[in-house]
Amino acid sequence: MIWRGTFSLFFVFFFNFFFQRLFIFGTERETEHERGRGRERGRHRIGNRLQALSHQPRARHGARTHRPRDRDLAEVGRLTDCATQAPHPSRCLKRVPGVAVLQGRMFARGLKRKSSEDAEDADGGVAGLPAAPSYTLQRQSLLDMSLVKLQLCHMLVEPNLCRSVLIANTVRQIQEEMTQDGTWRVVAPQAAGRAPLDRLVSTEILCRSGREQEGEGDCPLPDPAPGQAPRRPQSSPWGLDGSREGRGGFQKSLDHIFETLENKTPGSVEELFSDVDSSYYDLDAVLTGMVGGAPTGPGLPAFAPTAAAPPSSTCRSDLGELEHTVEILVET
Amino acid sequence: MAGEGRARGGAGAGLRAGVLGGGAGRERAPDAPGVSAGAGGGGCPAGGNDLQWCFSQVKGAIDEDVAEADIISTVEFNYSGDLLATGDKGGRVVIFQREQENKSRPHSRGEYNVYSTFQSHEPEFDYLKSLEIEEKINKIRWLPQQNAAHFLLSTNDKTIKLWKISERDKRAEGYNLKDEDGRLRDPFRITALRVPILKPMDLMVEASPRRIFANAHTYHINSISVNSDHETYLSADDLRINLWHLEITDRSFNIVDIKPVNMEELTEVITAAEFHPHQCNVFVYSSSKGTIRLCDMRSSALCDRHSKFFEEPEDPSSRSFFSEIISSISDVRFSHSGRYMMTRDYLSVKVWDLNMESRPVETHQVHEYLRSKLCSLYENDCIFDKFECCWGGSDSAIMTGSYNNFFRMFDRNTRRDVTLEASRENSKPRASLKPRKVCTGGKRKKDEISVDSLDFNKKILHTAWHPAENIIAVAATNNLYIFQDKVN
Repeated sequence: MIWRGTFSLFFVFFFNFFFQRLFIFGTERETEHERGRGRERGRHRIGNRLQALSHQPRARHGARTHRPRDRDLAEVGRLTDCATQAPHPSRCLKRVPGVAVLQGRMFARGLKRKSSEDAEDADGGVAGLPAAPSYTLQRQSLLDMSLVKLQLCHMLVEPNLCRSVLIANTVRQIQEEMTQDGTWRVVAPQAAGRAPLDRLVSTEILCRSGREQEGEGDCPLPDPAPGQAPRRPQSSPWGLDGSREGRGGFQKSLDHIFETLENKTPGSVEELFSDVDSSYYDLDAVLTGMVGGAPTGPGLPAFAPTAAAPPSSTCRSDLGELEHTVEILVET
Repeated sequence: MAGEGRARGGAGAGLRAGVLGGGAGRERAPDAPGVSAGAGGGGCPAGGNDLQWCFSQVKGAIDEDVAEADIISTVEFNYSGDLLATGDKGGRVVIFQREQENKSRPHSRGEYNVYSTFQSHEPEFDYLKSLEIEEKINKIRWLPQQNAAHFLLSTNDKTIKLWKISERDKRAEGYNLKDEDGRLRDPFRITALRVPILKPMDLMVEASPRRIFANAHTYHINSISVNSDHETYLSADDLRINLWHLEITDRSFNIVDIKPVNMEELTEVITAAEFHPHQCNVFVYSSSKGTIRLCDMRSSALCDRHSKFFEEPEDPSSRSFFSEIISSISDVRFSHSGRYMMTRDYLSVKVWDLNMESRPVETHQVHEYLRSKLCSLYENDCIFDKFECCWGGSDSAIMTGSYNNFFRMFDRNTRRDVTLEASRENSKPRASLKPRKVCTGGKRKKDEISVDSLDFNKKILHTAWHPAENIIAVAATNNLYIFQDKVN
């Protein structure tokens, strides 16, 4: 008895904490109708593209779960000199001429001069330095950042259409360039096996849900590798996605939590994704400001592993109690 | 010549009419500020650098902790410059009035003091989309004064309201049917009749909403502009522009619609729009791709086809992933003369001659030192900040805001520019503002500030310039600074 009391108390605190966090990160926006409508959309290009990106290593900065708006440049400054991070931009001119010519121009004016000077350099030795991948890395990080921003848009009161359009255009531009480079490729599943911890969860989610889609005919990208292993989502960005829960969705996600707790296996995390509304990642859904069903799942599994730690034998009996408690908290 | 500061559309009209080829001229707007159309201002103050700007007033709390609702979101002088309206994120409008000049101190200009405060917009909830509608005031535009009352239009994301601000300084006393405290008297008890007399009372300024123009915009309204005919106005959102009549609230005409049939193909949005100051059939709108379209409403009912298309060819050497974002125009303003227009994109202001579509006649760099920081500015979203710009009364100087509470002034005649700061440190009355300098690299001199030390939370997005005199209002987060020149 005492054990069960303590256990339920633990869960109450756990969900209390969890739920308060949800509120902090905003309230839901989409209605059931929109979620349903979103589901109808089905296939879309962006999921495939992002799936294809999954192999790229993440840029240095981890995902930001809060709006970075309030920080001044000094704080975010490590990303500042995107170009100065590139040690020898000149070298990549030799290696990947098509791409590298732009590099000097892309991120800093100062570098351009240097690049053009070194272009005349007769030295052909590139020695496989990180200069070329550095540009690719920067471009990749820009792409990741843009995708996160597109999703973050929906945490606001109403998506700012101008901002969304500008970010989407940037994404398109990068993708076009990557397509031209031929770097727009999907890596074999093995290589993508273990997720680096600093991956953006958005890409993870999208990769996961992309798994369930087929490639589009008009999409120039190769089909995503179907067998991508599910990866462990990281705990930090749950704030990103948890905020997008629908009112109905919250209950649904609670159910998912409960199921997961009952099953008590990491693989059950998959179930949380099974119901993810893929239309959310549709670019036009983004642009029209109509978010499909929120990926209710991805934010939550962060807790699933931790919650699975305490013995779940008494789970079942306490679940009803918990649900009741949470309902009080939610005040639905 | 337009003469001294307070010229009111008289002397300058001849020049204006000439430039416009016999356009509307002075009949349109009797209260329009006097302007010398592009010919330099003989008697007028020349602008940015020949003036010594000094601090006049600052309004707002000094707290470090700024409430979101107090952040000023728009600033606008009225046609005479006697009233200054500000709107904030909490949906409130505060109007300042200029005090009459003090005879005993002729050298000190009138101060602006609070005249009226009212709640213009309330937060709403869109039940269909399950979205909140912010009460933030996006724009305020004054109507020219036609009687004792003042009228202004204020808008949030979805609804435009016409407010009437009127004064009441007399009160009727001696009613027959009502007691002094308002209680009704029994008609049968009245034995004698009296005529109510008007007695003076403390000045009371009332604001009342006279018209509410709602439900015409699906997207967020970013601009409103009153036409020179003073009967119509336009409101622009991201994809559409509507034309309204000030008297009619249940109907508006859509004059521009750039929404694609398939929203997936959307790549460009409308960012600002304005009517020509004298030609009531002409308006311009700017886009997120750095283009401006001038439309003539006489050509067709739906002005999707522009009459003129202004775009500067892109410089291929400075192309980057951020090129498009920084070319997005955040504000477009006609000059007082109506011959030029000014656009503000992220890093520069450009002055365009309406007769030349191929490129601007002037380009002024606002904070070019940020070009190498675009990646970070993209990350922290600062790259999406929408700065406004404004013309001086004589069109010889222009002004716009920047970060770190800096704002920039450009003198078009002398080609000089200056960076000034709006801060409490320089807030002694009539203290001159010291020019600031941002050091871009290398050795930082004394008094210079390095790019990395700039505070990107302190941004000056909204500024306004008195229509006739050299008085500027600068909104720095929750504070409103008023600066004047040190003439006399």
